[in-house]
Amino acid sequence: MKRMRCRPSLCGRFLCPGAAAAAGPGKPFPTPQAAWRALSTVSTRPNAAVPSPPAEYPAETVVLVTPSRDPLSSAKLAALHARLSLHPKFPVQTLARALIDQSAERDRFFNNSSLAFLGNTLLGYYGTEHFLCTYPRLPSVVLQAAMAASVGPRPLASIGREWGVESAFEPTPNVDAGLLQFKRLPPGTVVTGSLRPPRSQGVTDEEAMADFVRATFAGVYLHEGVAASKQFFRQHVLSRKLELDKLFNFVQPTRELSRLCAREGFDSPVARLLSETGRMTNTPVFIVGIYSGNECLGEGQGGSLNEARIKAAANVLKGWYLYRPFDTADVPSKTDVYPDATFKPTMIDSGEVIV
Amino acid sequence: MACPTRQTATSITSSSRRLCFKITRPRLLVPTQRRCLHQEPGPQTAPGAATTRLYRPIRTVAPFPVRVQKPFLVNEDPVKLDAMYQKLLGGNLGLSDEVKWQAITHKSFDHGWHPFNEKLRFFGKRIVLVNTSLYLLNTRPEALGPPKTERLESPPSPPAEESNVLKRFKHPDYKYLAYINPRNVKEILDPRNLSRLARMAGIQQVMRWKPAQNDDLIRSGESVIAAECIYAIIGAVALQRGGDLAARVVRERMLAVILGGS
Repeated sequence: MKRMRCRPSLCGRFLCPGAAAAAGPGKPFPTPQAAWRALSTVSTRPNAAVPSPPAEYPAETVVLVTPSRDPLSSAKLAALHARLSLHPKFPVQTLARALIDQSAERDRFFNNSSLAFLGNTLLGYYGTEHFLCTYPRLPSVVLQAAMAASVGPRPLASIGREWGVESAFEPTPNVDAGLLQFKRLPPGTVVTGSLRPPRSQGVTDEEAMADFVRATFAGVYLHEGVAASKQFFRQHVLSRKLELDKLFNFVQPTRELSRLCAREGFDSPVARLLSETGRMTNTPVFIVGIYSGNECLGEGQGGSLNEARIKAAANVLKGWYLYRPFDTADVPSKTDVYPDATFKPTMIDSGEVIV
Repeated sequence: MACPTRQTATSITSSSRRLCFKITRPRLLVPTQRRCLHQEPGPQTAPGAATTRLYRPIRTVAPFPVRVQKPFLVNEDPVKLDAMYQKLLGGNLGLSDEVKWQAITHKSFDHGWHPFNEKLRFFGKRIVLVNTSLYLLNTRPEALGPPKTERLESPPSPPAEESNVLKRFKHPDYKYLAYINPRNVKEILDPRNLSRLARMAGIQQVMRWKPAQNDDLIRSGESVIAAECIYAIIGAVALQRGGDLAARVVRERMLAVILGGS
């Protein structure tokens, strides 16, 4: 393993700035003059109107605080571009703009707010159509929970972290263009509900990272097109595992099941004991099946007769709601890519049972 | 005399006079005089009728609960339904009859016994949001004025370059990207705009729902539910005929009407 060793002069500079100043000649710290609008996505070019840089710099140097402030010369940004396998049509400057949160830079021509909004709508569209076509009978509450669990702020933030994006400590003008720049909230701030401070005062790490990922999606859509953005969605969002059956929360599964059978015209459900062991012991196990007519709809096992019956009813309901059509239908956005293609419509479900 | 228990003590200390009273006039047998509003004055109460004060006339008092239980009548005529779809979509897009009914049925109708539009409108809203954003992306905002082609062709003037120390990165793909923001989208998809659109198509007359108050449809949220029906119809078009056609419906039948009228 390679270890980095600090040069004593560098360490001294970080630890005590006074000592560094006394240390003598070295690369001088940037003066305030050099820190104009350094959060922009494009490097400045020296011209006549700009006051001349300090004497240490040669006159033709780019007036930037650090060279990596320029998106074209930031190694982090180039590495991120390559890591995400973005097309050469996708400029690095867009990626740099996606990394600037609106809490760091208020100008909407420089920050990622528009990109993030567009990306959010696209993610919502692709996510909803995926769930509606794959699981047509999903209850709407579960559908919304699944959307939050796949394209909500938390999963998007974890996608951004997995992409290897790091956040700058503070959005000062001298940070690298490849770092996520946002204003942090002071610790202990309430970030939920109506007490949430406005965006200009700062954001949480999670929200800023989620907005970056949304903005990247929008950038792919803008520069590479619809088909590429769908592919990007499939590769980065749909590839993540989501356990949909854990999202259900039945309050009265037996009652809901009997309503479901009544609505769909099945025989009313009957619970039958299939097998049992150790009824008189400390740890009995019962296996109960739910029958509609002669058909067993599902089974459940539990430590008491009632528990087994309720679990069986919940299993039956999950089996109903998590139904997947045998041959998957086309998602509606297929015709966005190929307008003349034949479209195989999906099944439209009548909705969940209301108890 | 020492009392063995407290209970005994209380029974003993209660006055004998009260015990006598209880025996002579048991409460259960002789109920107290109660004011009766809903019954006709019977022969027993007839002598006291002159003295009994009635707070309101008997006729106006309803002998049933205050909440109106009367069923709310909704449209059942498929001809009216088709006419609404024709007016809203501007043609027959090939939706099946079941889906046509489902898209205008709210969850409250018949306690969810019929197919309802909750998921359709969730999906339809996503489509509308995407297409509104793309509309803002591709359309030149009025605030910018007419495009000046001759200025774009000429090289940028030196003073402009001097004034902004840092140039903005421009790319032809960006188009009008900065005009996509929540405020602009909200302005277009304002509930008032949507309810106006629904009223023009006559959705309120054909939708199936159950208002909270039969006599006050506005407070029951008629316009909100009608706007949801528009979203649901767009979602149904997308699921049955594809996203391309749904996007065209949003652009030509929805955004054009909203932006043309306002």
